[in-house]
Amino acid sequence: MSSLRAELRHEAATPTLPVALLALLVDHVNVGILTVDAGGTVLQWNRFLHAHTGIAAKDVVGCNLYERFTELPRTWLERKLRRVFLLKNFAFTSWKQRPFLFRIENHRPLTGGTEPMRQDCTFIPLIEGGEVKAVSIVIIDATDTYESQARLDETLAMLAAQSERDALTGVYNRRKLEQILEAELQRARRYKHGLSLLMFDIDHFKRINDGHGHLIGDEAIRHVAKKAVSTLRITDSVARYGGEEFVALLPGEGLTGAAIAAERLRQAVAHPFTAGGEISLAITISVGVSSLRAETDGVKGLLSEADAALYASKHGGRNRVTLFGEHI
Amino acid sequence: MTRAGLTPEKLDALQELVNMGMGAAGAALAQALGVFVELAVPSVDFTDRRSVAGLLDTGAWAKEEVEAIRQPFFGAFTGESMMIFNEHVQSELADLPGYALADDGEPTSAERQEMLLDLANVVIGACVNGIAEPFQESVSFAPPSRLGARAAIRAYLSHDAVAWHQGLIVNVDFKLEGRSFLSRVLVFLPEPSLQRIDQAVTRLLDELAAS
Repeated sequence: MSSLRAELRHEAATPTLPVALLALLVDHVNVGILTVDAGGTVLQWNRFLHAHTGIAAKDVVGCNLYERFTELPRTWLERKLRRVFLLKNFAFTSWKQRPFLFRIENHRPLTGGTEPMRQDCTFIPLIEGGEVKAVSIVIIDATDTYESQARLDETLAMLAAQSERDALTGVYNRRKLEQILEAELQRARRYKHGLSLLMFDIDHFKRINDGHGHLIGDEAIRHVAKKAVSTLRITDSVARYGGEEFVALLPGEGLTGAAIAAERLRQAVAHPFTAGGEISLAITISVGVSSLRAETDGVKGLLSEADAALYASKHGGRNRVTLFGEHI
Repeated sequence: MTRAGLTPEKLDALQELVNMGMGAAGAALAQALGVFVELAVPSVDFTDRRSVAGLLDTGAWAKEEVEAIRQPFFGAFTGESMMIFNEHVQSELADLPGYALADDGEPTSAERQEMLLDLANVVIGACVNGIAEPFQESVSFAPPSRLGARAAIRAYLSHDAVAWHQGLIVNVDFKLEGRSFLSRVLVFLPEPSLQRIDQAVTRLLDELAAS
């Protein structure tokens, strides 16, 4: 202790940290520090690494890094270290690409998880007289960053899903439908596939709302959405287009196939269902069908043709399917 | 426009020093990567950082989708470096001798990303050290990170909330033997760093005059 004090006194003119204290700092700092020489012999293994791996410095220092830790990705690590020695330059790894260098089990027994510690590593060349004498690998615990990134990713995925869905029915909303429609139209034209569109709405919806109330009206809308999803194919997209109006997009389907699908949907909807847990309700839909032709005027054309066919269904007495180009 | 004391004469001297430093950087890179590295003569300009976006719209770069990695450095000189690749880089990295994977499988996207970040780190490190070494100065580096594609790069470069717009930009184009991807390193040294560079250049010129 007295020699330390003497050393401190001696350095008083130009204050510097005595080497002994510096060693303490390196040992106690809250990051992992591991130093190796050019031959791969471990020169230093600090307390952070001891505490988290359960392996003491005396059992590592002096050993060959790759022989002591056979689970390390040797080829990759040797190359990385060789570049640091050769180029006298820093190198880095991030948990984003390489979750960890040394596997350290989750160290949060209270707040937890089971994921191992995520690590960011910095390889620092220790240069003396223009030569890299050794390389220190500084290992930073990045588990917090990893966890908040994971939560952020989850939230973003949820928001993205919500922003494309209709809240009442869970089918796509109009904005998402328009995106899908644009992409499917291009695909159908490129690969010369068919593409058909159903536009349908609930007949006399105002009467349902006025007679049974809005909650029952909402159930009628949900009923139609459910039937559309269950009768159409998994590759078809169903969207709520307006209040009681829906659009379904049928990729790969020509007018004839789409007409069959539309008729099946019309019949499925027409089966009475129990609304509000007590009343049996029978509703019908009118459907308009359009199909992509060489002269179709894009997304707008496909939609307006289906709309015209739907209008014809309404005027023809409702509860029916009309194909664009058949009578209109 | 202030040039932090860098006269045309000093700028010429700096250009020479950077040329020398880059030559050494190229040799070291070739050794580390296992392929010959061809460097264009670096250009050294005093300019506005926002002009960097324009460099992506000229020559061979204009038609290409790009990918950029940035890396700040500090110490003797403080600044930020950016390495830009065109999209071919993704398919041409996997079999680079210095990076080839242990098992001959297709690299995963994380492995590709890691290789790209490491390549940028190695090249940027060689360039920045190439600039610092003639002055016998040393610099430290922060980890490299991905900036993204052209739109993202533009967005970053057009931020107005930075302390310094003016500075030196060193621009070096790279080619790796047998690879067709384009790559370019930009080193930006903002005004406060230029005072140190000016001092270092002055000292070197004085030493030359005295000898």
